[in-house]
Amino acid sequence: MSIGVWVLMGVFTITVLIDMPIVFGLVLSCLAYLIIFDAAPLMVAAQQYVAGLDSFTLLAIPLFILAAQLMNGAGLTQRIVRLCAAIVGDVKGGLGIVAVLACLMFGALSGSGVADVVAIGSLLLPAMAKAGYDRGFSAALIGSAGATATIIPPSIVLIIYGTITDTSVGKLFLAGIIPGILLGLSLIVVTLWQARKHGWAGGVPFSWPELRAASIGALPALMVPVLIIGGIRFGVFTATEAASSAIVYALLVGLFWYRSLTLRGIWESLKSTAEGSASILLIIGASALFAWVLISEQVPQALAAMLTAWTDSRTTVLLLLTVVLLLLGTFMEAIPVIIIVAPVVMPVLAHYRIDPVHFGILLSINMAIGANSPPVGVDLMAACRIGGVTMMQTLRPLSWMMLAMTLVMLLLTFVPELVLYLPRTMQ
Amino acid sequence: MAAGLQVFATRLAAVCKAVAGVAVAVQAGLIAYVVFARFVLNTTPHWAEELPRLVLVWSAFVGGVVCSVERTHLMTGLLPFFVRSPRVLAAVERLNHALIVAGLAALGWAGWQLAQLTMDQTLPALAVSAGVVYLALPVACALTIVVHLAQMLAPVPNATPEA
Repeated sequence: MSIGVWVLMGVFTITVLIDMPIVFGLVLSCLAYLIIFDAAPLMVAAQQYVAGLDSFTLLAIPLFILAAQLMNGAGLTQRIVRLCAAIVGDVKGGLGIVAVLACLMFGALSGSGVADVVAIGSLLLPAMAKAGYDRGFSAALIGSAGATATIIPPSIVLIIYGTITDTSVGKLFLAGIIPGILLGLSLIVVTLWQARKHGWAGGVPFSWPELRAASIGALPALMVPVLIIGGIRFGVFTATEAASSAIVYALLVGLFWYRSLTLRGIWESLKSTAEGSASILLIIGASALFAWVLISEQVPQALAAMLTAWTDSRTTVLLLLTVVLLLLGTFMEAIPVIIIVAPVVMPVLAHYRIDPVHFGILLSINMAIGANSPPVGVDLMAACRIGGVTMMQTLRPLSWMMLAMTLVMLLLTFVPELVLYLPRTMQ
Repeated sequence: MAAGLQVFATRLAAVCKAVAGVAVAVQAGLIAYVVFARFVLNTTPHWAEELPRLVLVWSAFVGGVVCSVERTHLMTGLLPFFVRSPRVLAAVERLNHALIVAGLAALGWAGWQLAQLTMDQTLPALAVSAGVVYLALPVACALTIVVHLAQMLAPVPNATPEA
């Protein structure tokens, strides 16, 4: 690699270490590279930055965040939790299973791991503590289960990956369904094992009338994934249009069905969405600039040449990329990792005939694991904050959950059909 | 001066948050109308992609100013793991602000030049100057510089001497 790449990476690493916001670290490292090596006029940096976020597909990000905010404001989260509790009944460790199921369902509304953790964790972490669950276990479980929103449609991470690599977001959404469910199941297995070991209680006994009442209450929430996935699967909407339809649906449900959404609530949701989506979108723009520098320095070609000289095995390359991504995910946020790594590895994927949809899902699972790896696991941090525990208290149970998620990732690496079966049904 | 800058930054954040919130509502409304027009009116507006993208760019940059004021930009939070001294942490934070101000000044200036350069070009669907898109960058950089200057000049909270 050229000295320019080392300078770029070096400056960026320093900005990360001194806790500069990532967006500014990306911009500063690119500006330093352009100025030191006189590689291009600074106007190019401005143009690449704006071009990086001037995308129709990226509109889906604020729109899905707004849809989730409105649905949360309308009270769908409580209804989802009630439905999950009615399904699970008084199985030992039932509250933990409810947490996993609720995170999977809410993930299908929000597309964001942190949103999932905050919404479900705020409701269930106090209840789990009251029922005698270990607080560290509960926080680790909510953090890990919330991170499945990174894989389950409408995952914001998958929207970004699809935009950057020109991969169909609709296919990525379909590809995320089976891996998301498998991850949820793996966490349920860990929960059941730990619950039996520690004798953690279940919830209220199962009853058909409660299940019926809870199902009716949660029906509008259950229709959202149908609207999004069905609309995209059958070619009715693009991802962006599905997001706007979800907003209209959330408004109709919140205003006229539950009557729990107020104008003030809508206004607060709009402002919160504007702030939350801006922090993501600006990183996308800055990362696009960063990726442009890497590409102009021919880093993707250098990486592809290095790997092809080393191995012919597609699986070895996937495993190697997994290790690199796990390391990156431990120390960096998912979004910059994806935007920087995805364009760099695309030539490698093409050379080894690795399906970009398959890789996108593996990348997302890596990021979900990274979102729970100390010291920079944002989902784990959010869960710890809500649960009132330190990261150290979560480490032991967390290690089992990380292991379970890693095993699922390895399964998906060796059996790509589990990822690619559903997208292949899409014309 | 520092207190005045802080008051200004707080008011700026409130205005930017409101503007970005309205912009999100506009994006949602525009895309919903495009879907409605396609399925009900059997027509797709000529601005169906360009206008929402323009609003997206402006809302992202204006919303970014709010993130700077409220310190909600994503960061790793690694520093406290290997630096304990509050004095050193405060000094590093000021260094961060200074570097950000310098970087944004360079980027904003480049964005301003780009906006001027593209003012004569027009966006095909909207028939407005392409410079309007790029103008969002220098405007946001200028506003964000004010915010970081205010934070850099603000007194350090709980600045206790080291033991």
